[in-house]
Amino acid sequence: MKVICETIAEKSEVISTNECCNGSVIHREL
Amino acid sequence: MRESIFNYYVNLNNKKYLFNTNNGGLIELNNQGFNNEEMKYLQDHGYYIDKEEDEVQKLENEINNSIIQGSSSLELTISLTNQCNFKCSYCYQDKNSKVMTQKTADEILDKIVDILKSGGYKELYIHYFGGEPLLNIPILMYLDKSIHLISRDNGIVYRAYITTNGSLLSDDILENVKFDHIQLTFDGNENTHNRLRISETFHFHEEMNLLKKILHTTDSKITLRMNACGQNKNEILEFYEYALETFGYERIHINLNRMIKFHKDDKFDMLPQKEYARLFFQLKILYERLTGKIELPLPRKYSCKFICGLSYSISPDGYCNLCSGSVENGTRLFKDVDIDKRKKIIFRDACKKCICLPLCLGGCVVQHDVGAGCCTYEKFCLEDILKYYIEKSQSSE
Repeated sequence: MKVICETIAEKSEVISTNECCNGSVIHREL
Repeated sequence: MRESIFNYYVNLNNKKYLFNTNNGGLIELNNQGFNNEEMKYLQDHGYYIDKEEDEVQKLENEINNSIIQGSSSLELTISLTNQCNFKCSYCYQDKNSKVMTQKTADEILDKIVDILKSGGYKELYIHYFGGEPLLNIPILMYLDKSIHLISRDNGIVYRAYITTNGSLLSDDILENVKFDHIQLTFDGNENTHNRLRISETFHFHEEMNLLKKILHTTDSKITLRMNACGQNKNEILEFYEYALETFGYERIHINLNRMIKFHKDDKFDMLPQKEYARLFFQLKILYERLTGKIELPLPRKYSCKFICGLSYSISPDGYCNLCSGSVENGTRLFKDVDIDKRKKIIFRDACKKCICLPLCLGGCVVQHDVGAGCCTYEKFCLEDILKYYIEKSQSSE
């Protein structure tokens, strides 16, 4: 078994301004 | 012990991989099973769970605890007016003559001061919205100046966002209001854009010139929004490729959306969810090719912040709308809202069976209620995303 990507430390918070009108940001870190 | 219901297996090049949508981790498996150390890792990280554990209920509890704890960001979408000088063919809003007055602006400012007094906030995100918000420039300037002072007095960071058609975004405004993000919309190539975004004077070329001016004269980031439908689906990738290659990605943020039919007589073809998901996946590949950035699907901390009371959308007359994407008019004034009163979520039965539940937490209520489907695009192309990620991570080793 090999870990390719570690589990996340904290779940992702998306700013509502990036989602209004059902937007989908391509890269959440933005 | 048993496996998590959020485990998802992928086979690629004779190897087997395990991804978990609730912890965001990805593992390459071997054929020998797991030794004790590996099994402990899998248990500690939620790939394997207690036999009796109800993972969906646990997730719902976890999200509701996050909602109750709240966020360090206060996020307000303020519609300065419902008027608009464009007649976009797909607009969902009920255009009317409502314009925010200084009295309403003062009530909002007083409420912000009250909220910040309670402490706990580190950032204040204000999203200036409309209609077209720049049809009410005096109140924009007034709110921005006042919120700068309030933020300074409270030691918090203020970030101003604006969604605008750009036609009235003058040098004077760009100089006086330091927008963190400016959202501009392009709905395809020149012909398609001008056909979908109906305006008398401000067309594709003028908007493109504005985009260049913002990049040259300000530090604002630009959220480049495209609304995908049947009429422009073949132009989306081409446009984003042009934009990212021409302007780079440091200040250009990609925001693709599916055009939703709110009215029966809307004159565009709404993309089925699967087709939109395919388009989004292709955009993800394009983005990786141009920027080198790719990320695995990320589980979310909150469901829609508007719905649970972590974010508010305020109408020009000071009422709380359901959200900024809704045509529903609110009945509560923002000044009367109890900001600490939050609404817990309850997952829909159909969502409880979905492996992607941690990624979207039920999705957009508005899209769901109009029957447009509200699943995250990842649901329809999870295998493709994972395979692409694995191939890229292997080629970079």
